[in-house]
Amino acid sequence: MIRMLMRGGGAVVWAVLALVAATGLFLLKYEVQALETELAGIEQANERHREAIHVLRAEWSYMNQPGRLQTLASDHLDLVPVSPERVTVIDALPFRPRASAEPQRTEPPARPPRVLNPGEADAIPVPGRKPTIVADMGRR
Amino acid sequence: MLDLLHSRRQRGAFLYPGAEIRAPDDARRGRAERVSMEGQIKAAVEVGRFRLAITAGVFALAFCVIAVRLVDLMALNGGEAAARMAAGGGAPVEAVVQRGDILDRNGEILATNLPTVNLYADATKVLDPDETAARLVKVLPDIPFETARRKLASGLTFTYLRRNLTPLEMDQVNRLGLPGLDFEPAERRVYPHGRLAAHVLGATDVDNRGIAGIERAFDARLGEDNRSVRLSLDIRVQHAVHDVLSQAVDRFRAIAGAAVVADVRTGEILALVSLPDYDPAGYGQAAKDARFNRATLGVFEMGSTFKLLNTALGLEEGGLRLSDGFDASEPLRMAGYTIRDYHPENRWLSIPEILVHSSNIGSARLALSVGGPAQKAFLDRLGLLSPLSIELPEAGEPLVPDPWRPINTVTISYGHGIAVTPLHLVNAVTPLVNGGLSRPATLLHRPPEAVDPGRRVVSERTSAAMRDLMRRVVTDGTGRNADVPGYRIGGKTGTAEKVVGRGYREKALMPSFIAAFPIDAPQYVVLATLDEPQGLPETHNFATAGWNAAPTVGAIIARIAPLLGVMPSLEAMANQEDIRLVAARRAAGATE
Repeated sequence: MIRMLMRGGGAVVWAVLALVAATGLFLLKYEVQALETELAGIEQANERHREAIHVLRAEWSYMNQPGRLQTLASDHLDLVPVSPERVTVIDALPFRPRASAEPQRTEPPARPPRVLNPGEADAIPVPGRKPTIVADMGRR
Repeated sequence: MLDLLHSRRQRGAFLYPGAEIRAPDDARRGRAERVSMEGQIKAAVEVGRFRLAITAGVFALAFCVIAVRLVDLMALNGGEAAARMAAGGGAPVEAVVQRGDILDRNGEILATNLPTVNLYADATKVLDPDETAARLVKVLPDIPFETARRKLASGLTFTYLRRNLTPLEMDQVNRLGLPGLDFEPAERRVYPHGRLAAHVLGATDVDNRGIAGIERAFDARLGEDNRSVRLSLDIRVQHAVHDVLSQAVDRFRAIAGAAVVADVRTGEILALVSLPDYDPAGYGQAAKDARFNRATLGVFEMGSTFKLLNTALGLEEGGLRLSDGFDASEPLRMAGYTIRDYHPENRWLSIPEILVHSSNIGSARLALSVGGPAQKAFLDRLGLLSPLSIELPEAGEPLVPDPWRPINTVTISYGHGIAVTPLHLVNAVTPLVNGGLSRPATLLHRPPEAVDPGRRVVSERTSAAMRDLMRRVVTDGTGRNADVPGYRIGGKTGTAEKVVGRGYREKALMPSFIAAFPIDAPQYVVLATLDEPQGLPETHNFATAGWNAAPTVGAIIARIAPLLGVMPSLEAMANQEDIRLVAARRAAGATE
């Protein structure tokens, strides 16, 4: 009885297997197709993005025209070109004076820088006797 | 179903004729079969089975092949994916556009192609040329109606109506819905910086082929190879030079100007400006004068800036020392000409004094003492007698006297009677300040390892002496207005009278100033020249180089030195304080 079932069931098993394989194969095919479509879409998007990047790079260069930046900076910022006396290197800066055990020499009181023609907008400060008023204020 | 199979098995048990008599019940049936399968019959059945197995095997194989092929087709798309993987993995990505970019030394885009569309008409499909043209010119007003109508009525299957439409224009034309009009993808050459580097970049025609400048010189590389070109220009420096020179041209009401900044250590040109200039996108409409590159194509008598070369000639070839000198007390008469000084000192002048006071007489006597052939050979060594070597089709050829008479030796000593391009002069002065090495000027970016080793044209000693002399011209001589505190500038003025017809016109001047900075270890050479500047009240109506070209170069250096990372020197700045105090005192005096 069992033997006969097996003999007959063999075909059934094979048929079921074939069915499963075919179904699997078709499912796989649809999956592959979906992935292919997705890949094509990504490739197209890549191409579009590459083109966009190319155009944006040109636009970046256009927006960064030095003349345009100069106009914008002078209109909206309080920046001026660096003058030579404002440029230096770290090595050229003096070290902070070492604190000595000796009592500090009494220094004359700090005076604000003398200003010529006070009240005028373009007054030129002349170095006073003690120009380091800011440092003194910090010590106090 | 299983029951059915079972019953059929029972019913359909196979028995040879007559055998059923001996097999009345199930229990004996198997034995009965065995009994009957004897001898020949058994052999025949075996053969049958064998054949059946082979056939089954062949079929199984065939089904396997079909199965494999099915998987291949369904899952792997018949090897297409694998082929694409193999091809796409190593192949370079296709370029977006058909022509390479031009970049500056920092990679900033100076010229690039952008995708656009061209509008064309298939006149055979146009229904009504008049109506189509009328509606089209409403959207694209820059096409004349007559031109559009003629093209639409021409009967040609392909005729361009307009090139390079913007996306908006394309949309508007599409909305018209007119038959016979169609678009073709195209590309347009775009110069994001406009006219800033116009004379270097050149221009392209409507088919994006180079017709001038770098575009033409590197047409094969940009077009066919689709590779980018990286220039030595620094667009920031170019802008600063362009800005300052434009202001100078406006202020001194000059008709034109040119300026060059070059790196003395590599020969790279960082900025090259020629004014008036043009917009490369509108090259066809630009005036001939604007297209003319004064820095590399125009040849001019450069005037007293040649005295630098003359002094170097004396030191290098004439064996003179700085303490030597010549008598400049009287004008020099020669071949019917009288050579005078513009700032006469009327005395014996040492070589530094000849340069600082820009003495024509002294220079002429110096040149005569060295001799014409040596002078010619020296200038040739500095590249002044051969066509300009530069990566531009617009390269000028010097005008050189032939034969080289003594009077030519005299005039050439102060820069007349020989016409060279401004870039020639930059090229010749570079070895005088950089330690004596001449390198061909280049517009291409040179990485540090690809720098030309250079050709020695003057000795280290001569170069060091020339640096000192150039500094003295700025501190004590005609170039005072070029000085920028902090950046040690050395230079030389030159004011040439322009050749008009067969003679010189005294009022038509071409002042120039060539400078190197920082002069103790020069990094850059700057040349500026103006064409027919006018005297102004604030320049005491002088139109000579010391009053216009020199301050222009000073302003250029003040702008570009921080950009180029040149450190201002501290000792030069110490003097700055004096200047401020003087200014303060003057202000105090004014209020009193």
